[in-house]
Amino acid sequence: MRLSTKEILEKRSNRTSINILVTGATGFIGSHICVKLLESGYNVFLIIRKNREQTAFERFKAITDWFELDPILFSKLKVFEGELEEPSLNLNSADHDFLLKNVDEIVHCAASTCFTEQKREETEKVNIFGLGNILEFAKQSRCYYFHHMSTAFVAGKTEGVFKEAIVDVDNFNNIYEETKYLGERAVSDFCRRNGIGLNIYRPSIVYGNSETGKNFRFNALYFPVKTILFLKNLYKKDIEKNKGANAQKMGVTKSSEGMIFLPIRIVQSKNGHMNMIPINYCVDAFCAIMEDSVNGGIFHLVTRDPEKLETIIEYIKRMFNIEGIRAVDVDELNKSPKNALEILFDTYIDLYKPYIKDPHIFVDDNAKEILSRHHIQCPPLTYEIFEKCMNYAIDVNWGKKLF
Amino acid sequence: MISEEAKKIANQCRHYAMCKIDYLGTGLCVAGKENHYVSYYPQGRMDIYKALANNTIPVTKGLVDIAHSCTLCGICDKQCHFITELRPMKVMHELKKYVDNYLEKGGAIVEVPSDPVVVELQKAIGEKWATNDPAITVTYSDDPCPLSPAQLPRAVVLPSSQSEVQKIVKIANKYNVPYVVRGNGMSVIGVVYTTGLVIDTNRMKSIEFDLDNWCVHVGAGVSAFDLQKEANKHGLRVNVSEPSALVCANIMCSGIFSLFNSAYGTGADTYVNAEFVDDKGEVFNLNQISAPNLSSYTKADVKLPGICTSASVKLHPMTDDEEGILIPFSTLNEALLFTRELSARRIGIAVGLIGGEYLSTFISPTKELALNAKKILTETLGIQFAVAVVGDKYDVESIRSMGKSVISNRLFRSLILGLPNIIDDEWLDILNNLKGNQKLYEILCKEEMIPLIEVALNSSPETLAKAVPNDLKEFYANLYSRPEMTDIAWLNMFRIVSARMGREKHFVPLIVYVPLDKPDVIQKMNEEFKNIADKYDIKNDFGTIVPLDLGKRAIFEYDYYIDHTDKKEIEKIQKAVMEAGAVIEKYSSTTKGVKWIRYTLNQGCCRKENLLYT
Repeated sequence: MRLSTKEILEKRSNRTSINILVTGATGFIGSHICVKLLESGYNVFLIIRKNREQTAFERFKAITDWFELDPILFSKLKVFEGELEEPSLNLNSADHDFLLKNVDEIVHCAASTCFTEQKREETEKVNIFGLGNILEFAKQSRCYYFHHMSTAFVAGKTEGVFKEAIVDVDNFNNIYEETKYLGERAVSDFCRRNGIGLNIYRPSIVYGNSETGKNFRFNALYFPVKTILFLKNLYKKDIEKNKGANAQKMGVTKSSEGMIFLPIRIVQSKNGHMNMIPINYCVDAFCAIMEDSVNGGIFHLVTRDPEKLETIIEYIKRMFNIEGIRAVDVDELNKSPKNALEILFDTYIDLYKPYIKDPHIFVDDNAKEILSRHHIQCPPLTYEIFEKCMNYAIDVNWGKKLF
Repeated sequence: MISEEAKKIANQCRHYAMCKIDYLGTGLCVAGKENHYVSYYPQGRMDIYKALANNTIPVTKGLVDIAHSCTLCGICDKQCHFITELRPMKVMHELKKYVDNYLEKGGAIVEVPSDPVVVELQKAIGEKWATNDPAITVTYSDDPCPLSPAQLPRAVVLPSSQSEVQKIVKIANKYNVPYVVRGNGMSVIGVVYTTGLVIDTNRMKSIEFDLDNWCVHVGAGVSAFDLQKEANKHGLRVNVSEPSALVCANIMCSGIFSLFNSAYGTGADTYVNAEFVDDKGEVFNLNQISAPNLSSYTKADVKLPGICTSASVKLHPMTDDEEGILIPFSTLNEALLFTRELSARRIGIAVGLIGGEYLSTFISPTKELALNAKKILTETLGIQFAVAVVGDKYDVESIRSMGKSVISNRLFRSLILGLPNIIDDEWLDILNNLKGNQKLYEILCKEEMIPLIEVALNSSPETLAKAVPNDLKEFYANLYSRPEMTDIAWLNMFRIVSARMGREKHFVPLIVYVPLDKPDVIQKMNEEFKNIADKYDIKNDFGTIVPLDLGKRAIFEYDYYIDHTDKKEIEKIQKAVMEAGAVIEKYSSTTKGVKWIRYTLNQGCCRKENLLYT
């Protein structure tokens, strides 16, 4: 190893002396980790791609504004313009040299979370080739520890218990799972050969902040809720303004109490559930493990109490004054043809189905060992948290009012 | 005093002659209908105002009459807005105002010099129907095509019969004056100019059905729209082109181009017989042993065989279960293969592959809406191309059984009538988030989805009317409450929306016969046409492919678009068209079945076999 366990512990005892390079800092998890690291006293270096409208720094600045980051912390931040998918990370030579000489640890959060097969090339470019480039950089630099953000769903189509280890998996639900799995294999092999310490973090589905409801990526849990709300408002308007002719055709009604009945059946599997964690837990857990784990390991950032689909449906019905949405088994669904609402909804959640009826039991002993020392626990997704998160989403118009 | 606003509108007239047919049921410009010269129609008045603004014509008796004959009824505003979004009424007002002011201020009416040719023509066919008044000749001197310079004719003459055409030709020969024939008094491809006589066939409007022989005898002044309308009254159909184009001129000039070519053929397939007046003023018909051989085809610029004075056009049966559908595709290759397959399997009465530009432009009543529609159709829904089919229920069932997504007429109607809401943020968001492994259009094409689309877009004539100016909203709402306005089959037969392709800018079509069994050649040509236009920064897009003769051949149209009032654009497009022509010549010398339409000009009567397989 480039540094012994003792040397790492010594180094980490003084956060202000450690320079951490973070990739994927404009992403959901990456940005939260950046802010947490800055607030914890680390020196943080970022490699960010510029876009048509904004420089690399401007892109991150917009995010820090959303976080309301203390301006003093900018003195501990350096933003470099680059692209992970390009050789030498597309850094200019001065920046490249600077980073090679100064980076101590790397937190690799950059990833494409695209599930669709049509985007295979793009996803492989980021999740495999981009990873290869940053690893090559790590090898050339003085970096002694690599923190790789993966996903619990490298478990693919396996069922039952899934351990915090590199397990052979050969069947995946989508290109994201597949490339993240291949990424884990590559990063493990690379770090071992080059004497670089390695932690792999595997979060499950991450939603907003359980304390504030704040969020800026409204996918996964949010998509279906947004769709249901859209349909509810659409037919409510039809009933209130157009005498409900269209609503009637679809079997949508409004009760005297103002409750909207939407006839939507959603398939639920008997053993399936949804493993979701809030972003604040994800980040707290990551930082605790990052600092405590010096010998490397794989860590599941998951909940031990995954939610059943019925629970989420109840939350939606309660919060939005809706009736008619039902979790049913396949036989029940096949009794009558799907209506347009069901087709729309089904198409919507098609990509997320593996996570709505997730059959895995994720073992998280490695993570728990460290997290219990820090009294970090994953809060269950209660109605209050759900409501807080959805209210925030609606307030910011599902992200449209944000940066 | 010239109004700059009116001048600007007048400059934008596209000469599509849609103001010369009653295609919206508004009635026709009364002055135009009575006086027949294009000068009396809104199109002509726009040219006259442009000429006055440029100080190229004096105030003559003819001009005063034209100005005063306008009743300011407002029909032209509705008709022209539907196609081009122009509002000609401003020009009509200003033209009257200009003439009234001129006369009030004691301006003299300039006498038109006597011309012996005109005098003799007037004696032969009536004083009213031959003139050298500049207010009239100027409206036959130019069109938006950037490829040929304008030429002011010596006179314009409007015969009412074949015998009058004979007299005109003989007088022209006697004075050694050249002549051209302008169908419907219009031209958009710049090939019908002369400094001699323009013969406008607008008065030759006879339509006589011979139902036992499945044909209709059509005078040279009958438009495609009017003929189709009459044929429909008998439950029959004719294969005709653009609604304002004249049937005889179309047949003779380049042959008929329509989606019905797929089943009804092209060239000589369209007609039973045709009558001509030759360059000596003698009559011949094509079923005459001594007649010139017009069934042949040669790759050369061919002289006009004569003036086609009438044609016996084939009539085709219709069934009461006909429906129009669209089959969307995300790639040209897939769409080409499917188009050929339909044609080879004899599925569909009308078949045509159209691009996203055509589709969005045709369905949208405004330019802005068309731009939005194109963005959503192509980028969000992934519909880059669509194969339009008109067929009976067996055709439609066959296509559905081929496993393709189908935009049914009901869905098509819902999309058109809800078009202004298609860009609604929430709706777009929902659509964008639907993108998964399945193509988005495949999901939306499911019949079960239509009720949801209808409610999401609030599809109704009133919703569509939101897209147009306030004073036209009621008109549009009434218009689109008529079922035919959203009926794919009807719209393909009458083609009243196809001229919308020239709404944003005038277009110059590149039309080529191509071998449909070689989709790679078509795609390469498509790419080369695009590259040329992109190089010159000219708007361009794939137009259409219509299969011919069981999918062995096809007609391919690619379009370049220009602002015909911008000199720089004109220069650019002249170069681009030259280069595109070289591309066509290159392919036609190496690939059998590639034929440039420029050589079919004046050979439209030929047997398609002589054109397609030689």
